[in-house]
Amino acid sequence: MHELNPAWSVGAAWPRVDLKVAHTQPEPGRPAQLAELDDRALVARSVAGERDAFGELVVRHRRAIYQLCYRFVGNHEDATDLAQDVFLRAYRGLRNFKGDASLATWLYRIGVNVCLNKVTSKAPPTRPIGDHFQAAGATIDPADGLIRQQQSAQVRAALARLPRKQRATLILRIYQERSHAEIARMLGSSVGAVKANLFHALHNLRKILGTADQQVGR
Amino acid sequence: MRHLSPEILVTLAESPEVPADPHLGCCERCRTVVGELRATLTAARQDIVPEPSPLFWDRFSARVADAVAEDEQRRSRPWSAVLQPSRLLRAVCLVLPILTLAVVFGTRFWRPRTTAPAPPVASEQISGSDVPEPEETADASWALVTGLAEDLDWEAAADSGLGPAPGSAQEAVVQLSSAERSELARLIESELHGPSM
Repeated sequence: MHELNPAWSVGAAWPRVDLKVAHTQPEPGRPAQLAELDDRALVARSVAGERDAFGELVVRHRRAIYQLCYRFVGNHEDATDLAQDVFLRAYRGLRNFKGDASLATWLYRIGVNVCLNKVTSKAPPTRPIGDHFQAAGATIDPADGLIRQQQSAQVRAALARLPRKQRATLILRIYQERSHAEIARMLGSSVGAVKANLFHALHNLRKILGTADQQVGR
Repeated sequence: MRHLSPEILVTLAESPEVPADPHLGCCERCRTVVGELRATLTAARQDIVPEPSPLFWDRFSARVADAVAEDEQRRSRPWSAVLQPSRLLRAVCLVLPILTLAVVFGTRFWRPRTTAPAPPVASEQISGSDVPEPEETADASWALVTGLAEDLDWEAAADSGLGPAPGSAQEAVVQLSSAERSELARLIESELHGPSM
């Protein structure tokens, strides 16, 4: 039986590291050699039982996975739970990671499956941005912020009404900026099907947003 | 006129730098669709995921670490999950009623096969000829039945419903005299072994 690493005990946290500087400037307390390794090497170490290596992978990919989950559920709490679930599943299945695709693609694939299992075709409640959030690149002007929040809420609500596969395609393409080929691999379809799905997703989104605008205008 | 496929329309909408398809120059409908797709893309891109507080990421990593450690522990001791008091209680609550039902219905509907003792004459007549004697010593179930029926006399068996029912052929045979039974046996024998049609 493995001894539990104190760094993984309750209350312990992995040192926070900015994604962009993860490979160059390890923070104090964070093992420098792990920060210098690429994802594949970290996967190999994680499989060998080195949990800090998996912690490093979490640090690198947590923001992207959280954002993916947030796109699906539209609120912070559920997105956090789902993102945690994604990493837990990834840890369990790390031995199955063949390395054919990048780890990010593999994690996205798990994330999409987890999210699609969670969300229903019914629109989830989308919460307005709370005080504990700071929208990336948001303007300071409260009026602008309010308008932007309303627009975001409209788009999110419209997204939630899309069929699941269209929603997944749209999220992966527009927000996660994955290539058509990557999306096809994640969703188990062809590039042509991904493009067709995207077309229908945009078409439906336009219809839903148009309806919402009409309702607001009444 | 053949319009552009959804795949091409999406490609054109996503990539303004892609050389415009010649079809667009002469097809108002496809031009409109591409324009609408671009407008929807722009609208959708305006939605930005709010960035959680920087402290959130530390907490998130800790949560994942805890979940992984817990999962590891659970997997290293698979029975520990099953033996949790709450789970045990749930299992008992589920199994106990099923067992109770099985016992109640089992005793009500299951009856051990008991062979009614054959009329004495018939058994005398047949036992010597066609029906093989059960191997009492070898067959444990037969030994059990004979053991249980040892103290059962004919009248008690009849009272308990094991004997011939009133008005049945078996009862009529029981009431025959010895000579009548012999005659009946002879008739049956001749009927059974006589020339068949």
